[in-house]
Amino acid sequence: MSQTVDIVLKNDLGELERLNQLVEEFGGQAGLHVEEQYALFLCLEEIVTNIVNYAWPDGGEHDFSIHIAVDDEHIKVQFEDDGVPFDPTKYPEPDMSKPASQRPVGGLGIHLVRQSTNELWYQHRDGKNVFIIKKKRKKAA
Amino acid sequence: MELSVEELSGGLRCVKLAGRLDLKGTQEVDLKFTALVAGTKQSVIVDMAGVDYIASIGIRMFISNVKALASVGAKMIILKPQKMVDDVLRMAGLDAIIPIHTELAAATEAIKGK
Repeated sequence: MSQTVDIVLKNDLGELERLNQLVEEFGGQAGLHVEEQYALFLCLEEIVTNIVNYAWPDGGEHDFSIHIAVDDEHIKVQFEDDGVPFDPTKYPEPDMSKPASQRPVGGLGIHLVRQSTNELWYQHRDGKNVFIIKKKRKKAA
Repeated sequence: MELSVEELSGGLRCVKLAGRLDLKGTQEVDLKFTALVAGTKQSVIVDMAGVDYIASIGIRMFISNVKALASVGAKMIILKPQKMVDDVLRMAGLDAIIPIHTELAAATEAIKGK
């Protein structure tokens, strides 16, 4: 059986706190393992921060949506925003072999999302960025 | 987000963090942490035992501070991160630039050693 939640956020980083509360509640209902909950928080925070900071360079107030679905096999999150087209799956991986002083500042968030999930999918359709992340569930012991 | 300082023997300083190093938590402690770490230009142990969450913003705070320390030949050591926080630090490759230790004695040795 699948459990889902739909959340609409404004392009304001203050919304992260509300998002965390909603996701904590949802994670409890959906029976997410504490490590799954952590990964979900992390991915949401990194992706929402990117959307809020970069999707609407001209500013103004905008809404975007998040759909979370959890079943026995997967945790799936779909992000939709009507900001400038941006494909996170094409973002280059940071070079981890470089010393600290030479590492670029950007790209760490999406790197953590890649590492915490099993599948990333992106499409620009009907004027919207549609970005989906998927993570396999931990098997019950 | 809480930050406290413990002065260890031998003039070594330990900065203890507790709470969530998410966007909000990192913004709360960033100025104070940077003043205590990058600002003093001295080797430091950062005790993370009380931190139960870290996102990229928190990792970036560590990276900018360790860069400042490295430029004057000082070190930063991370002490006792919780399991999931430790996983994220390693995912980010932070362990390659900031050694992570589970025991204070080993962390102290790492600071003193070359």
